[in-house]
Amino acid sequence: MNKIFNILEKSLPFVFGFCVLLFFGLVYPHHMHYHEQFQLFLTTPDFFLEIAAKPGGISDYLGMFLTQFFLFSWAGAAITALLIMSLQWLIHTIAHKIRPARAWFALSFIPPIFYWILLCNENFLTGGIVSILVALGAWLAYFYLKNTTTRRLYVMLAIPVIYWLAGGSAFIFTFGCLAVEWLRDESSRGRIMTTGLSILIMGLCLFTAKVILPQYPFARLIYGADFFRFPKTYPSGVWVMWLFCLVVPLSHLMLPAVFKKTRNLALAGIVTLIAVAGPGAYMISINTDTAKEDIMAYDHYVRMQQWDKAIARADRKAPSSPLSVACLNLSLCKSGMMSDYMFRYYQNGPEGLIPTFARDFTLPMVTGEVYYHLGFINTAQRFAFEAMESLPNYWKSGRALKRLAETNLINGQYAVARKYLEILQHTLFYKAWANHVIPYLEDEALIGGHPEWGNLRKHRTKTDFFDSEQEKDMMLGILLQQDLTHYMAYEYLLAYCLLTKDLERFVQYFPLGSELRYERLPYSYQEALLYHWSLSHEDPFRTVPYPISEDVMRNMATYQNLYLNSSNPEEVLKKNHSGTYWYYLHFRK
Amino acid sequence: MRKILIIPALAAILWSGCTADISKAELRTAPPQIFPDYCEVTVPCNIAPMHFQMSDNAIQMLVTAEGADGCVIQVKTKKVVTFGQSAWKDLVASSAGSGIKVTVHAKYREEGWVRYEPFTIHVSPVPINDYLVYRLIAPGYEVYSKMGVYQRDLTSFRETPLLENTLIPGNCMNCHSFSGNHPEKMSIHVRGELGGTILKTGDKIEMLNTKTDETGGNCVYPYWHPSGEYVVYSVNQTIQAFHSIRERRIEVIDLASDIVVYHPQSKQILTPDLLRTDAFETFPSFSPDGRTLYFSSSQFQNIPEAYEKIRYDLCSIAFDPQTGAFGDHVDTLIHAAAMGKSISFARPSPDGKYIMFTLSDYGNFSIWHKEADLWLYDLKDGSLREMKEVNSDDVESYHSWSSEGTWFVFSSRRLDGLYTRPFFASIDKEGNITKPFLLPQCKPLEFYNMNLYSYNVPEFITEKVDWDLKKVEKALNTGQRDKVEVRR
Repeated sequence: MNKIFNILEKSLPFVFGFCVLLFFGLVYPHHMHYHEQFQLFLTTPDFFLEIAAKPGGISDYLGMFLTQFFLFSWAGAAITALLIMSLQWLIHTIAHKIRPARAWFALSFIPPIFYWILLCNENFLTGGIVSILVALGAWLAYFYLKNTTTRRLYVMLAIPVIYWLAGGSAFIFTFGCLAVEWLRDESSRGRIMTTGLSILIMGLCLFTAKVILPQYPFARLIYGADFFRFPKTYPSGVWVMWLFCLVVPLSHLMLPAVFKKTRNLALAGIVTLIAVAGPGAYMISINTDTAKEDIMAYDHYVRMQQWDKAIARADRKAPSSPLSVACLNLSLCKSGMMSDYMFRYYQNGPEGLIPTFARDFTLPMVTGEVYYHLGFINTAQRFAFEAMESLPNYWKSGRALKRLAETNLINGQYAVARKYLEILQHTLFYKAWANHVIPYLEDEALIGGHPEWGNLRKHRTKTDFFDSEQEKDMMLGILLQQDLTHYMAYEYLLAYCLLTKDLERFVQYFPLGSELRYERLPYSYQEALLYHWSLSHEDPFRTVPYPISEDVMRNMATYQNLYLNSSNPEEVLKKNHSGTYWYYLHFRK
Repeated sequence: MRKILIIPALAAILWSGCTADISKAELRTAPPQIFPDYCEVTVPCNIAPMHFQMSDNAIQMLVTAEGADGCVIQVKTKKVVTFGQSAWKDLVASSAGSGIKVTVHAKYREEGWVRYEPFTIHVSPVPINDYLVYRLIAPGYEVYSKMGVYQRDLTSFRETPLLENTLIPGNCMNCHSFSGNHPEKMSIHVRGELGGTILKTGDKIEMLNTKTDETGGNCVYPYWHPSGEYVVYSVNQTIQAFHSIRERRIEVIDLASDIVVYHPQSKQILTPDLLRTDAFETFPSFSPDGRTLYFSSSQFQNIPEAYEKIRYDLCSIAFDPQTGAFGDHVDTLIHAAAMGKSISFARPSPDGKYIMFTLSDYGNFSIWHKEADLWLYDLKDGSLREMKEVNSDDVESYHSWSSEGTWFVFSSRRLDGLYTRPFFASIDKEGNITKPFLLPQCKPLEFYNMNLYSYNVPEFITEKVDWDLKKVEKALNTGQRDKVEVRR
């Protein structure tokens, strides 16, 4: 039996770690990218001093250091798995030090599983788990001190250090050590003194922190480390986590360590394991937000210009949120497929083409990509800036800074572009890119010859107007008018008309594409033109003046027939015609 | 005196290792390209050490800074020329009224040592006010991240926050203003969930809600009356619009604006009819004698379509501080609209001789106008002059005077075209203006390159603001705001 327990104790953490790795690597890979893009880790001493200048700041710094590797999702998954495994190992080892009780081994998985659940929320940050690890590490070190005076001295001295390193997670250390001291020391005087002094020191730490850092609210200094992206929110999950980290190891004091029958020991172990793993797995599954992961995936593909991957993802499951549809439409357009196939996918109106600006950090980042590729360089610049400035924890963003360097470069504002590039030179993963871009500064020929920046320079807006969320078609029209070969502007302008169901404008703008010389008329244009023609002509199939294919004509005839003669045309047409513009026109709101 | 002797002695030891090299240095007739550009600038005798570094790829520098009385500092460095605080203090003190001769030897990988033409840092015997208060904020659009109002000791590098939005996350603060450069009386607005105007008078902290039905909005741009008995504000309804071409980014436009005067003692607002018209009135300031109110005024235009036609003149109206009564007419001092220009931030000098203002092509939010420059209006003879000595090809915008009127600080985007930095210059009794210098920093190039915040609304104060932040935090968080009333 002992052998089985030995194997279990050794293998289960690895199995667990492997599950975490697979979860974040396969189910949540784009959550990793999401974390990375909303921070900017600099390798400068000043950056360290800035982040480390508050309780828990060093944990935040370490968390940010690790998060920069999340640019590669499997690296992010591996780091997260290692952190969660370390948490389990520390809890188990501390519990074992308190009182060896093999039957309850599975309890050591409660805190890591709970943190895994927390990490399903994209706003829980890596610095939080680092801070807990620091506190638990310090608690573990405590068990190696045998001399009572040394041990107590260690606790007193370590509290302020742990508080500075890990913020509020120092509560775990303080109360964990106190609980053990309370049990070891049999004299009530010793107990009271140790407890009183430790609590006093902890209180002094909090008080001193407020005196040193008066520009932080007291509640924030209690948490210290940035567990959560929104500093105004103090999630109760953190307190529950701290409680688990304390209660689980200390529970070994209450639970029976020795069983008369080996069978009972095994039974207790198995029941505990099932009791932890079952609800744990269930909680993880209900907290897994695949809808958000989906949006993050599209955003990532657009960021990396992996248009084919975005389209392939949509082929597996059509996106429905405005952000993911906007990413899909951009991918389709960049792949030359939008005007043919956009209605083969779910479309949710003009918001799925160019979403409306919102004061948050996610939406402007995604929408900015659309503006950037269209050539609205100032707007793309504004959206990148706003996304970065909207980060509630006041961090900066590597992705946004990169985009700002690009937009300033395209706009010929080289001094600012240089500033951003020089900042990016102090990063691990943007440095090579920044080094590559610096020679472009003030070299008009080099920029002009660049496949992306040169093209965007050619297409960018040269007529001044104010951005208008209500008149995106006008903005697109101006962009197109200044260069009638601007394929994307044309496609977006017509797509905008189609999505707003404004067929009059569609027909009015349609001739502007004459210089684009399509080999054949794109399907959605054929469908829209034929339909529009049919509204005012009796025999549209014969008289339509546009080059409409036989297939489209046949399709429309069938569609018309079913539409007019079915009691529930939406359902009837869904099967074979939901990918047509007509279906969108009639049934999508 | 001992220090003065020791420093050269120590430096001479360090120096001796290089003398063999630099004796063969190639001579250049031009001064070195350094950052910040301190060549031939004039600095106050109490300014912080003016560390600098080469703008080019020099790998080593040997610098001699020689004061008027022979006091010398020698620095050998690979990167930043750093002067010790006390040695620098002695050097500037001993050079007050004359200058510091700076000789730079720079070593290059290929060329070896080069000796540049020495340059002078002129030292004015007039000290600058000890503190500069400014807001640090990213030069963004509608959203703001971390920001704060800070006070910087100009005699050292010490910067301390007055109020940061880490304390009140998600809120914004702006328009800090002091009564006559003294920190005793101050006002700051907070915008957002915990919005209100913080008014500090001595140790007393009040939180005001300055919005009234009659005035239609919150008080915005402030200026204290020299007596400290009144604060004049503009009340602006502002929108932002975003340009689409590379040369322009943002337009900040007033839909409506008026001027009101707040009397803290009675918590009443005075609303002169002549300043509450359909025209746009903004950026008010009082004359040093407190008997005239200056402001910018533009004729009404349809917004936003006619935004480029809004041009502000410099106007004035009489004010009686005893009664709070206003004159019966408005004078137009500078008819800028007729010149096709627009005036913002009229700031009278403490001696009442000049009004310094920002001149741009149109509108009032000149920080987004590349053409914006500083101009000087002579109140005695009514003459106008462009302050060419301090203007650049980029934006010069907000400015303020030191308490005695020799020094002034102004915002400029000349370094990179976007991030606003504070520059200082002086003007003497004859109206001679000196070459401006950038706010000194410990590692200037690294600091200004890595810094992602603009210096907003730089204001001099004579001493450090000392306020009870706990009281401020409590006042902000209680949500209680004292209502102000309009005096009828």
